[in-house]
Amino acid sequence: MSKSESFFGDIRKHLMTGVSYMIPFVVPGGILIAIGFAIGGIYVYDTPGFGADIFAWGKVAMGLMVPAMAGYIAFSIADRPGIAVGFIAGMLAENQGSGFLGGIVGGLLAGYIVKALKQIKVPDMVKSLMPVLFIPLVGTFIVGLGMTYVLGGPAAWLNNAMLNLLNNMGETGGVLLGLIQGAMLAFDMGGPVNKAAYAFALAAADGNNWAPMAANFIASMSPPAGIALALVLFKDKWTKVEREGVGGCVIGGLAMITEFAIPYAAADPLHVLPATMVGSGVGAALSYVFGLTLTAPHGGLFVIPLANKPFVWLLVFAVSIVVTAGMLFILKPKVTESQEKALSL
Amino acid sequence: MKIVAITSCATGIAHSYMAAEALRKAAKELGDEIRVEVQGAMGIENRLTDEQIVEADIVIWAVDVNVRDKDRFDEKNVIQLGPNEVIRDAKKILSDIKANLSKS
Repeated sequence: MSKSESFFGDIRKHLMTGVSYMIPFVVPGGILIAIGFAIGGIYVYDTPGFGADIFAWGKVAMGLMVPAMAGYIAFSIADRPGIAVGFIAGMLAENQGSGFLGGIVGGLLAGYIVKALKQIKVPDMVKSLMPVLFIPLVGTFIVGLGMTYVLGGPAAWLNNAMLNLLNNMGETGGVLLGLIQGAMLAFDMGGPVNKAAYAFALAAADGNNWAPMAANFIASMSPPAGIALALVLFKDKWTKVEREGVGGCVIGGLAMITEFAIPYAAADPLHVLPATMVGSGVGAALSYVFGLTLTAPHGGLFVIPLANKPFVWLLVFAVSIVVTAGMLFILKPKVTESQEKALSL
Repeated sequence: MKIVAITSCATGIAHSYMAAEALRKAAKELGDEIRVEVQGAMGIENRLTDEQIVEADIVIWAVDVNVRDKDRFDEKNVIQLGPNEVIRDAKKILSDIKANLSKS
């Protein structure tokens, strides 16, 4: 079997798996809720009609966010038998109000309990009863005890404390949070650090606070967009091959696929990463300062009409791009002839 | 040598494919035969057959997230790393693995 990693490396992988499977639930959830509001007004849930129906679909999708995450955290730990118990743990967390944090705790609990139950040796005769009867039943029973009587309370308290802190954060707090969040998002461009920051925005969204998501969009879109601007403006700082990638960077910038910036960061991380991190950090901080929110968890420029102030959002995005490109101008040295040759081979 | 690999990242839309491409390119340059299964957001692409897995000299998982149907690899010695490492320098990683293999 595979070479085992460290315990914390494993946990990180399990959480990433959970987030990975959760995203397709949050996307229709957030966007349909926003469309519902747009059609039915701010009291859409009290006014029956097509808007209310769309709102209801979005609500269901959002409601599955935490269960899906917990289910697939448990899947990552215990493989297939973990899914059901993990989903149940996540639904318990959702119902008891421990939200995202409760879902993480529940998913881990379910995963490790099922993993332990799988180790129990039984005679061949009853082996087939393990996955269909024993593991889901006993697993759910233990997870229920753990979530209801032990972990659920503290997790709910922590989750609410986090959301309260976020909701009552002043301007200074917002700037600080934005700088950190933006720098993390730009640090590895779609890698684990980026996903950790994204998970934070999702956790806040689960608690109905969409301010971190607005900042998330700006900080995720500005690295490729800022590099695209620098590719056009500062031609002598890039090789010919690099400059040919400008189309990809523009698309990446508009569609919120930070990954398009990776080749540029990989070729010259010491100069490119500080530039994108500063650009994204400034953009995210400004997003908090202007009180921007955005009720969609993904989709780039196509969902910007869902922002509370679309034009201010675009303005902050533009600032973030210009700062990224400006930092590249300052930090990045000109391409030497030998580099041009080496890279064009 | 015969190599099989699985690539998978958190979102499953970019790194998974970039890692797969990097591995294919590196294997080609080193003269190895490689099959890469991508477990992305669209599901499993280029699924490895049991035969390919049995015959493989080297099994690589370049993954950030849990591998699906991992019991297929129960009998194999799996080398596990992150997709980013592979994207950065697949050729060096493959050469190192091969060097280690020939030592033991």
